[in-house]
Parts: sequence; structure tokens; C-alpha cells
Amino acid sequence: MKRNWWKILCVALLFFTFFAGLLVPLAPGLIKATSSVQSTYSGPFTVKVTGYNTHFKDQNASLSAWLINDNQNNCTNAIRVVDNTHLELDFPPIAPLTNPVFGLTVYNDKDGRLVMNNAISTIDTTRGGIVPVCHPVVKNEEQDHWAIPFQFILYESLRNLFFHVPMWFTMIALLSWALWNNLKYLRGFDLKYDQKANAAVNVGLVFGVLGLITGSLWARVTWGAWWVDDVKLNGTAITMLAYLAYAVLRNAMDDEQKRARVSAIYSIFAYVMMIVLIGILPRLQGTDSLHPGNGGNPGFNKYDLDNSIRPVFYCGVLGWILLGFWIYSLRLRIHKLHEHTLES
Amino acid sequence: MSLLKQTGSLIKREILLEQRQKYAFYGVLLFVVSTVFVAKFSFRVINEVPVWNALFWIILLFASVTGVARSFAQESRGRLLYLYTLADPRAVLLAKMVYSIILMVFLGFAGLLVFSFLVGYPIQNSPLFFLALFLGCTGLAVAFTMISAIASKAGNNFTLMAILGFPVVIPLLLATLKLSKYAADGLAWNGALTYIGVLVTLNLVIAALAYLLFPYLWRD
Repeated sequence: MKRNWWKILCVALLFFTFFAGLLVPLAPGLIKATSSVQSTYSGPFTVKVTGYNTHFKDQNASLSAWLINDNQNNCTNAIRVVDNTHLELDFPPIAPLTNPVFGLTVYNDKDGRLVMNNAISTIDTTRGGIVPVCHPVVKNEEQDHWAIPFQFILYESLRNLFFHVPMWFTMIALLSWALWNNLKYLRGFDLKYDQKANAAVNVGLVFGVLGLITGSLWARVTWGAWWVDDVKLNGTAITMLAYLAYAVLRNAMDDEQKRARVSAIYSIFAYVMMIVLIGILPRLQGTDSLHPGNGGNPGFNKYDLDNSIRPVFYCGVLGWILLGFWIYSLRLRIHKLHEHTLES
Repeated sequence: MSLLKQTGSLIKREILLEQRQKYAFYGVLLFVVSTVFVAKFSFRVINEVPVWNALFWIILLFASVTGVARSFAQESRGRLLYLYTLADPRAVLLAKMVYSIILMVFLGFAGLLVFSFLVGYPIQNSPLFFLALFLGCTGLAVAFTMISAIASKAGNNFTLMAILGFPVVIPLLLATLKLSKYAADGLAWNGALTYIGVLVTLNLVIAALAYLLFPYLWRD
């Protein structure tokens, strides 16, 4: 039991990741706002609002809503609640100050302040006309319960962060372990290290495939296609090809020592190419990447990874890496047993 | 004898061998010319830069597979062993690498000549394109020499050579394609500097890895 503490830790971490990552509700937010007119100045108009996980009906009493234009708040004439997630807001005529785009904020005591930037726009050329400015009453700024942050476009798919990203961390951890064992093998030509490297590469490839599958699902939801032309996607695909070539190379040789030597050398090449493909090329300026932190995009840390989900993410990373090494140790043991039966 | 001297005389040997077996060299050259002709017959004239670029580098890629693959495959096992007893094995690798670089750069410029004569020459910044061509061909030569050494240990299989080689040269080709696109569009050198840096680094890294790992590889 003492030796297996990390397996218990692995199960606990993954249990926490699945539990928190899939069951904690998404924070309330606004999904859609449509205006009844194109010009906000020509007359009173209505904005239809769709929320997600919101409590408009339950919190009818504390409900307020306003449009934001150049830091001016424009309050509603009337709020009609359809149900918990749908609202109709009546506004008086508003002429924009300088910017033809309005942001929308809906507030109630339970959900707090829900903001949607670029909610509606106007075709008005009249600027800075009558601006009925109001000062809305806001009591509860803090959210007291734990929720996954609401991100526009991502919505519920943000949960994939706890599964997609750790897959790559695990793959890279296993492939690094394989590299370390390859180097160790070349130092003393002990076949033990060759077996370790081979098992690590095999399990690493499985996690790479899982990373591609989860990434593909996420791409379908957020970018609209199962596979997009992205440097990082192409880079990982080529990395997988390199390690599959490693597997083919191993099968092409019968002599154990020779196989170990040649495949160790190729595996070192493949690892260096992986670092270039995944780590260096996508980060260069002027490349097209949709991933955060690549091709000049800001990293996840900048805005998405706020404190409420950070612990879940780190637990996920550690849990999946431990699971990877657990599977790896099992594969190694199976391999040893197999050899044992062949010898006797 | 120092490593450099050994390398020098081994390069001479490579060139001598090539002179005696001219058919191999002319075979690769013919390969390049005939693929260019196929391109000519299917496209007539190519004005679109990406198509021109892709076609040109695909031709060079396959030329390098057929041309450089021979570097270790053409030697019999006995002759290689004899060479390893005469000289430092790393000198053998370096000689083959340098010879492959000469061959590939020559093939690259010859290919460019035929290709631009028959299919068109849409490049606006020629010096930058020549640099891209030089760096790309060097990289292909260095990578495929090492891959040829690895493949020759595993039965000298042409399929294996392609399977092993492509993942290693693809990062190189991606950077080369970007660089030659910069050259074709006639952009200034500033923007291209990153990719020149990446190509030079990649070439050096692959060469250094090959040099460091070859002592483990050559023994049977």
C-alpha cells in the first residue's frame, strides 16, 4: 500500500476533475441580444435577450438592465420577463455618443452583473443627441457559489480544458520519459531502458490520439470544423507520424540490441522535431493559429484561466499524468511477464 | 590524421566514386527534369506563387529521397566496415553529409533553372529565394543522410526511408516554404529573418544530433 500511494492520489485527482469539471454549473451569462430596429434613435425599441443559467423570473424584483455606450448607462423603460432565461427590454430612443455599438448589462441579486459587449449596434449617424442617462442600483457584486466561468462562444465547452490540455501534458511527459530512457540506453546498452522507452512511447501515442479527439470535438464546437488548418494541429499530426514511424522501424529489425540502438537514435530525432513543431514553430509571429498563446494570440492565462477553475485544471493535469504513468507501468509489467514465459 | 583531414579525403573519395558511376548522378538529374516536364505538361505556365512553390519543393523533396538515399545504401556492409577501420566513423558521416549537401545544392539550382525555363519564374526577391533554396537543400541533404544511415541498419528499405524521413524533414520544409513565399512576394528581409533563423537552427540541430548519435549507430 505504501508503494502505491500515487495510484490512490491519481484516482482521487481524476475523480475530483471529473466531478468538478462536469458537474459544477456554468456561471450565468448572456448568450444573445437582438434589437427590434436598426436605428436606436428613430423611436422606442425592444431588445430581446437570451440568458444562460440565469434566474430572471425568480429574481423579478431586483431585475434591472441598461445599455452601455461610451461609458454612459442608458436604462430601460420597462422589463418584461418571459421566463428564467428570456427577457424583453423596452428602451426609449437613444442616440449613440461616438460609437455605434452598445454593450448590454442585466443585473439581478442572484446572478449579479451580466455583461455582454457588442450586444447591439445602430445605423444612426446622429451622434450625441438625447441620451437618457441613468444610474442603476447594484447591490450584490460578488458571486457566492462556485461556478465555471461564463465565456462567450466557449460556454459549456470550457470544461474540455480539464481533459484536452492535460492529454498533451501527459503525452509530452511520457515522451520525455522515453527520451530520458533512450539516452540511458545509449550510455550502457542495457535492454531494460529500451523496454521502458518503448512502453512510454506506446502509451504517449495513445494520449496523443486522445488529445487529438478531444481537440477535434472542441474545434467543432468553437471553430466550426472537426479539423482546421492550424500550425499546432498539423504539428501534432506530424509528431504522431514520427512516433508511428518509430514503431514501424522497431518492427523492421529482429536483433534486439540493434533494434534498441537504432530506434533510440530515431526516437531522439523525433523528440527534437516534436519540440520544434509544437513548441517553436507555432509561437512565431506570422503563423496562422487559432490556439491561445500561439501565432501572436494571448495565452489562456490572460483571461480564461481564472482562480475558480485553476485548481481543477492543475488537479486534472497531475491526475492524467499519473494515470499515464500507471498504464505505462502496467505495460512494462506485461512485457516482462511475456519475456519471462518465453524464457521458461 | 585529424577528423577534418580524414573528412577531406573521404569527400574526394565520394566525388571519385560519383565520377565512376555517372549513371546514378544523371539518373537523379533526369528524375528532376522529367518531373518538371510532367509539371509543364499539366500546368503549362504557373503564375500562382503557392502552386509554383509547392510543386518545386515537392520535386526537390523526392529528388533528395532518391538522390541522398544512396549515400549509405550504395555501400556494401564490408566496404563500410573497412572505411570505419581506416577512419573515424564520424568522418565517414561528415564526408557523406558534405557530399550530399554539394549534390543537393547543385540539384536544387539545376532544378530551378529547368523549372523556371519551362514553368515560369514568379520570384521577386531573387537573392532571398537563392538563400532559401540553399538552406532548404542543405537541410534536406543533412536530414536524409542521417535517415539513410538509420534505414541502412534496418534492411535498406526505400519505404522505410520515406516513412522515417518525412516527419523529420517536414518542419524544415514548412520553414523553407514560408521563406520562399516571402521571397516570391518580394517582401523585405526583416520579416524573413525569423524563418532564416529557424532554418539555420534546424540545420545545425539536425547535423549536431547526427554527429553526436552516429558513433552509436555505425556498429553492427
